[in-house]
Amino acid sequence: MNSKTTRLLIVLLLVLLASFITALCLGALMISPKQVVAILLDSIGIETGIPFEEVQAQVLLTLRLPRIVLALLVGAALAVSGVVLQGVFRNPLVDSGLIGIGSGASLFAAIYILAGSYVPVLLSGNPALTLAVVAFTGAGITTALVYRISRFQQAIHVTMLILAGVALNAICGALTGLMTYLASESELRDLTFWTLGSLGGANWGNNLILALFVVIPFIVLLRLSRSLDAFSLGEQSAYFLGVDTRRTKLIAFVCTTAMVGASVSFVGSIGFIGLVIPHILRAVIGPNHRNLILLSAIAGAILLCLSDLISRTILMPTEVPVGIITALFGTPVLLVIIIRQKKRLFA
Amino acid sequence: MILAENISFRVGKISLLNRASFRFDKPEFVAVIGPNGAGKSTLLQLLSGFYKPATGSVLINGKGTHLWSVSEFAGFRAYLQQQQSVFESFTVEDVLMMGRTIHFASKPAATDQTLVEQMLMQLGLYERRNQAFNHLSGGEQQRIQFARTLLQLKDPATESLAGKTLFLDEPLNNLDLYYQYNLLQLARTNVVEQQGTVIAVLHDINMAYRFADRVIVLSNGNTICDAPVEEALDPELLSAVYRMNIQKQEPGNQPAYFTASNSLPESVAEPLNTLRLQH
Repeated sequence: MNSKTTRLLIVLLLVLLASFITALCLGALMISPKQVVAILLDSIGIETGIPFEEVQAQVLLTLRLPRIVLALLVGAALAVSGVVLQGVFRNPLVDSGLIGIGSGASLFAAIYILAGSYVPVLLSGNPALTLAVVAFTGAGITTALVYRISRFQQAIHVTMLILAGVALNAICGALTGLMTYLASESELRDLTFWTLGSLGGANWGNNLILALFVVIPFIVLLRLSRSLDAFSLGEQSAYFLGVDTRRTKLIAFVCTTAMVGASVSFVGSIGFIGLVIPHILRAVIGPNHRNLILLSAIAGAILLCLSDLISRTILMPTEVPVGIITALFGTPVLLVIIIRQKKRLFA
Repeated sequence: MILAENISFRVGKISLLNRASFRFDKPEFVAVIGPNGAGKSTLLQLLSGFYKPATGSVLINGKGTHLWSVSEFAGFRAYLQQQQSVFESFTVEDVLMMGRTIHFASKPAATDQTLVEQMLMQLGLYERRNQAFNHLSGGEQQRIQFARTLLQLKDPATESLAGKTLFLDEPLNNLDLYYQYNLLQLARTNVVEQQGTVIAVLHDINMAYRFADRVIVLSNGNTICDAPVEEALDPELLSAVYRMNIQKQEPGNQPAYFTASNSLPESVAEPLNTLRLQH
């Protein structure tokens, strides 16, 4: 890691800490940074003498903190999956949302929840864990489909890839929408949740399961970074260089679908984080995947934490779906990427 | 040593290579020539283990290509592909270092660094090692990709490349006349003179004549000839294969060369099947 990357890493960690505390302070109920620290210390049994109200502690510990931790996990998962998928497909436009992985996970999660309301035995055991596994399966099926459709004679055709993503997004979206009308509101959240996401309703049980689905793939993917670097030369070249390309792709797909699938099952589809963060980081620190994966995780966590903060404070007491916020700054970046690609292809 | 026996390959119903057999067991420069669609690239991809043959087998040092682990295999052969693009902005040095992929675990060792630097000097690109690979000209990119394949085969412990093979698929693309000679000369000095084998798809008969020890002539997936260069580059045979009038000029006081023109003489206008097919 060169000095520029190390500096950026430190800056990002500081920003992460600042975002974390800011997000804990702001909301319908204001809590000062001092009080935040006092409540957090108090919860682990350290008295500080700083006064705070019981309701503040309640809000902070049972609502805001789990929600922010959820945002950090999901943000990191989405950004890292973006980096990895772009590396495997060798294209900066690829993102779990764009190629239909998120909507596949949504559809399967919705099917599971709806089926559970008719066949309660499905909900026995740990429903949150089952939900994550089911969404992971859905994400895996869409990834495999999109990959198979876009692959022809040992090469991936990006136009096919994106068109297949559009088609799968449409069909999964339609089916998920249909299901939200079949179900009563209490069983299945409304369509907005699945299409634009929401971090409301976070709890520690779900966070723990999500953490498993994010942290383990993250470590595995870090170890895959050199193989992903070699993929930049093309899949065939990577093979001739001694990279087991089939294994690399399999691990990359399993890990990203696990991360994205579990995230989607708890927070719905949140777009553009996997597109924006890797794009900016590539421009700043270059193409080394180890650095990209590491820094994307932190930057993605910051981005979703702040987006969620905006979504719940901008029109208080109403909550704006967080996907609207991420789309608002994500789409301009998408356009920039497209224009850059155009210049590269036709210049 | 590479031993290919009766290998065939087809895509759908189209046969790209029919029952070809070859043996490569000594240091030599082998040129593979033939018209477009003759199966030259397919042959290289089969010999290098990228494709599995539909029939027959390819043995590398006595072991089937599919039995080698990907990284172990990469220690025996390197492959320069026809068209290559690099995703995102790796530097010239990064791309060369990727040639050392199997030689270090996570960080390049001092020997890897030295080899890459020597190569940069040899290419005359040392000053530009930190430039983005994608910003270089097509010819410069081609030379760097070639150097990357050389780096893959190099072993700091021993100079010898005995038993190792370098596959070059149309290596002269994008290169000017000087670098066409330069590249093939480098392949000879770095591989063949170090006891390794070069198997190169070439389109220029004169380059094949000048640099190859042995020539394989393919046409429509069939092996027309596999022989030492003087025997294989027979004007009559070449005229039939390329459906052109190919003459060998022997000025006497300088090396011989080939000329081609479109007027096909009556004598070789016959279809190819009148020629003796090997195997």
